[in-house]
Amino acid sequence: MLELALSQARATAGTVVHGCVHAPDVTVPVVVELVRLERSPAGSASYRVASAEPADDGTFALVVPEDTPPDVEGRDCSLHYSLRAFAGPHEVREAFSVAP
Amino acid sequence: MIRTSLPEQLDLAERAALSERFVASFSGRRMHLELAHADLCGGGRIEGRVHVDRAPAPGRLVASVRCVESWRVTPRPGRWILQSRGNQIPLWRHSVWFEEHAELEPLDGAHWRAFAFALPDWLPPAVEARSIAWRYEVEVRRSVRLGPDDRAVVTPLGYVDVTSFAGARADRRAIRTSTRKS
Repeated sequence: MLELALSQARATAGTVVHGCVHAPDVTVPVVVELVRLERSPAGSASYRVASAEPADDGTFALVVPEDTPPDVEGRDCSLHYSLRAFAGPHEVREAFSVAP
Repeated sequence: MIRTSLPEQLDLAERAALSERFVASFSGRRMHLELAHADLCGGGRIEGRVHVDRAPAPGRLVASVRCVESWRVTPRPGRWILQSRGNQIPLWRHSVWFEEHAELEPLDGAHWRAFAFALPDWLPPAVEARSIAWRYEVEVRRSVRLGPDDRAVVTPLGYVDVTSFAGARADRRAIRTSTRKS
């Protein structure tokens, strides 16, 4: 079981997001990723934008890349983000937004 | 403000990734476009000029800007015989979300004409993502007496993030996956 806590749920491109992952029963390494979710009438897809590995105490610092587009809500399509932590079969996601 | 670039100013990987989608950018037969300012988001502004390359260039002159929403369409799954290489070429659909026109003075004896557009607040920023895009196309069309209209189009790009790699567990249910410099 994973628990993900973020210092902020919104950030701008080029800034650092801090957080902490608690993985008491997990033995495999934990990875934290910033994931972009793209939705359109054809379907949805997610892409990894950036990733970070937590320290031994579970804290991490993830850099939002400089050229990351902000959240967009279009007429038929949308672009949103989430922060995801996973370790083996375990996974947890937190909603996250990138401001312009 | 969004960093704005033209398609030919991108690096090779980005240009290669953009090659499968239709990003219109070309000069006309007797004119070309140059942008002076492009703030590609809601509340932004696009300013530029149409320049004559080969005089005379008479005719009615209309400038327009449109916001196009575009998305990648996966080739539909079908019978095995339809799963050829040709059917795996990604297709892009698009719909015009916003469009505005402005009539300019004809280019009779002038070398250039300026145009400017104020974008409504509710429009999205210009984004080229992996499977979706919002882009702003700027076009100047000159009516001619015989033959097709003379058109010049430029598509300035805002955020370009087309080379993000798919995540280990990317949700792939439906998506498998010369213009002059100004």
